[in-house]
Amino acid sequence: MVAEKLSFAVSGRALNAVFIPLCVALIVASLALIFEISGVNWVHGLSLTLYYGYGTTAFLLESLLRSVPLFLISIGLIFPFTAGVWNIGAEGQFYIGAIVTAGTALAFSSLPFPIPLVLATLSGCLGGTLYALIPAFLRVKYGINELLTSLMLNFVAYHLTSYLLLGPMKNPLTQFAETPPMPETAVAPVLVPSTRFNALTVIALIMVLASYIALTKTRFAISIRYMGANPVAAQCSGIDINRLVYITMGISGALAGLASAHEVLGVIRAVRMGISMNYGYVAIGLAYFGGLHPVGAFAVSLLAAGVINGTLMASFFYNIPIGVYEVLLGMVPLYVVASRKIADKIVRSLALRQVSGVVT
Amino acid sequence: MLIVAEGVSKVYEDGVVALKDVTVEFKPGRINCLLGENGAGKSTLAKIVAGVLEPTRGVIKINGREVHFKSPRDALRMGIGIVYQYPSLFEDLTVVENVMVFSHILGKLKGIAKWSSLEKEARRFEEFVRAMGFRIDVYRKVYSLPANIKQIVEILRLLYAQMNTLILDEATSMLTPLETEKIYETVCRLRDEGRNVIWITHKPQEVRQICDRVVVLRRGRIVYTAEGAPSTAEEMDKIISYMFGAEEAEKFKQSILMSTRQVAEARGLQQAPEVLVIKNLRVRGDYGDLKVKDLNLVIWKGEIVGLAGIAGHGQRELVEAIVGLRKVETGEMHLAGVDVTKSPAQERSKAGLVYIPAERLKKAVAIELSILLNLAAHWLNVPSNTIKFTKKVAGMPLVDYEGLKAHAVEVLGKFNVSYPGITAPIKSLSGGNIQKLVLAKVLERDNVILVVAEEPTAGLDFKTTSEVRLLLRELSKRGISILLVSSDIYELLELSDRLLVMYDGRIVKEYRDTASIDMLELSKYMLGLGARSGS
Repeated sequence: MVAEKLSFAVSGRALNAVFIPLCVALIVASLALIFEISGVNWVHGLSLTLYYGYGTTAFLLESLLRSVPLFLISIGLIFPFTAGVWNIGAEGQFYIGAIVTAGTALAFSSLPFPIPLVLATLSGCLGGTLYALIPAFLRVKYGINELLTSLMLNFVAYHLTSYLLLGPMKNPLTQFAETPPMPETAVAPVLVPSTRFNALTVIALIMVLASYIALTKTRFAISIRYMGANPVAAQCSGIDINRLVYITMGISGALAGLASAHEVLGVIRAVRMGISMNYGYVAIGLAYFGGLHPVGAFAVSLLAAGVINGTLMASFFYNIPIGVYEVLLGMVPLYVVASRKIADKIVRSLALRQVSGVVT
Repeated sequence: MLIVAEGVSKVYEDGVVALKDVTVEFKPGRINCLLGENGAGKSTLAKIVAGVLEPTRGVIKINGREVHFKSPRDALRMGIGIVYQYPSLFEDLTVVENVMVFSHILGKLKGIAKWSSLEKEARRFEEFVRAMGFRIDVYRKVYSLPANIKQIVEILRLLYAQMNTLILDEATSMLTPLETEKIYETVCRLRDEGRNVIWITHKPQEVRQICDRVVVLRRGRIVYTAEGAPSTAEEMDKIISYMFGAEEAEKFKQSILMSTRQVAEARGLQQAPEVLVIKNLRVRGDYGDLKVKDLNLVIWKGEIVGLAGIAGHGQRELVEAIVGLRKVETGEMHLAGVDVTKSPAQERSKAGLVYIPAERLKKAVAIELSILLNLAAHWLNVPSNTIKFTKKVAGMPLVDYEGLKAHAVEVLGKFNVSYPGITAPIKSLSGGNIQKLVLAKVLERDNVILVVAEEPTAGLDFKTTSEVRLLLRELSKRGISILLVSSDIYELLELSDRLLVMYDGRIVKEYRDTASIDMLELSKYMLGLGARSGS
């Protein structure tokens, strides 16, 4: 013990106390600005957004429903991100999951009720997993950067979906790029009457709890955190980092697949081109906004979902462009990064000033 | 040039108080030795003088005038140059290009560099190097040079640029004894020319040999200054006691006595079972060049095998191949009878191989994560009979954090690590404590059979150094084999049961009796001048 250290703690709590309000303030301010630019009084715009986002039980449930794909994907992404594996391909994994889910549901529709549902859900997860394992394999086997491959595979998945929806899987009865509606035997039963809150939503919520345990209480959690912080030291500590690349990518692919199964079998009951509202990309920002913690990711996803629903309704009533929330969600990653830096600077310098008076 | 630091304090962003109200004079025409244990503030003071850091309070005065350096360039232009412990050259440029970049920074070269001026500069620098008594191919890319040559280039670069003040921060750490002598001579000549030298060191023999003025820092304050080199053992003891405080110094002296006694005891063990066998090993370096060339090596149970050699002759690649971080081109490697030539690092780690890397911060710990997590990651992933930290909760195997914490506190106590708290990040520890933590982490297992220790005491102060050496000695007594790679000859001589010399990817000399080694001969082997004896 030689170097004396001023004992000031930049605690995570103090940091969050600055970071979260700052970030939320930035988001609200830019939302207000967007409303003003569109010619809507910002107070009206904001209160309408708030009301349609969270104002009544029905709206709140609807926002929860909207948040399911967001939190499933972003929680899934926490696994590879913690391990320092950059899965940017959740969007593609979501599309592949959706296609596989729908295909399975349609193929096995004649079986009695829960069987097609279960089969379709599981194969959706499997589809997402396998698709996520492609960049994992390329990284482990050939050392190819997974950031590029997973991103590029998004376009492959998107256009594959587009081909299938316009060709082999097209609903013969409509003119749209969509599959036939999901058979009754494969649709997830609604649990709260007159809403779309369904059995798969419950599974999704259970996944939050399961991820929380896996990411905080297990040996696996310690291993991936260590690997993310220093892969070389991890190897020398007996951690098989290649295996963890497969596992973390696989988990995030599976959760993206589950997210699409929830949308296909529980909410939309078909696959359409716009089934993902850029969920796979938005979730990247949300995973970081939530501090790479499953509960945090769940909370910010709920927040984002409310904003999406609220602004959608607000733009409907005020007749302003429908892309308001897209502009906003695009800004979220920027705000997260910026306010984290600013919060760090503020807290650090405050704490340091408080104690450095002691010196000399 | 008279350099004065007046009331200088430095508080780092993370709250570390490196210097507290330091006032000190560095007079020209002297070699000012800056001493102190790890974290005493030596390097911080040097960096402030060299313009790398700005002081939190206080000023630097040069010839009585206050200066405020905004960058090292400002200091360089005033004639103050610094050489760090680790070379900081542009690796992808040639030697002469590095020298020219330096001239540009100094403002001596203007405009765009021309080929003709490069050639002229190369010739001039070559002549200068020769005049200084060294031989360097100035057209070689820096990355292809061994570490000692890099360090020499850095020192010569400053001399070539006619720096008025030289700050050498453990700048001879990679050099052979012969080269170090030459640098001593050169530095003494500069002193006699009236230049100012600030020499930072850990090595007691250096203090004795070249110093004109001793400045001892302890916990960020100047605690002792004296004119002239310490000539007697008592004077040296006094300096040591100022560096560590009286009580600690006493302990330190005892540990030195103890370690020499143990060395005497331990010699003579040999011919136990083979722990590591390497046959015809070929390994390539980062740039695809063959770094290890048909090397053969056997390590027996319980012995300490020292590997001497100038850094850059394949030791790093050999070590990385042994621990499994670098691919083997051809050859075989057996660990305790099992072929591990192709197995990855984590499997070798589980089989009982422990790696103590030279670059601790990069390879041994995750500095952003907590102490507890660093220990836990290792302990939970290597099998051991004594360490099991899982508990079943509703059928799920969860980590037993309480048990881990208790064990961690106990082990850190045993290894004498000082730390602010078990959940503090590694980066809040000093260098010496980080190294002790690394040792605590990897050695607190019951299945260790081979320790590969690379520069295990580099950058550590006297006290921690002797602690680490004692520990290595202790391990070999417990039957654990150690491969010790070090650029500190004295460390190798003190610890090794058997000493190997590596040159150009091969083992060129084996000393079975390390008690009677001719230093001149050893230096020659390290420089590739000795007759090849094979291994």
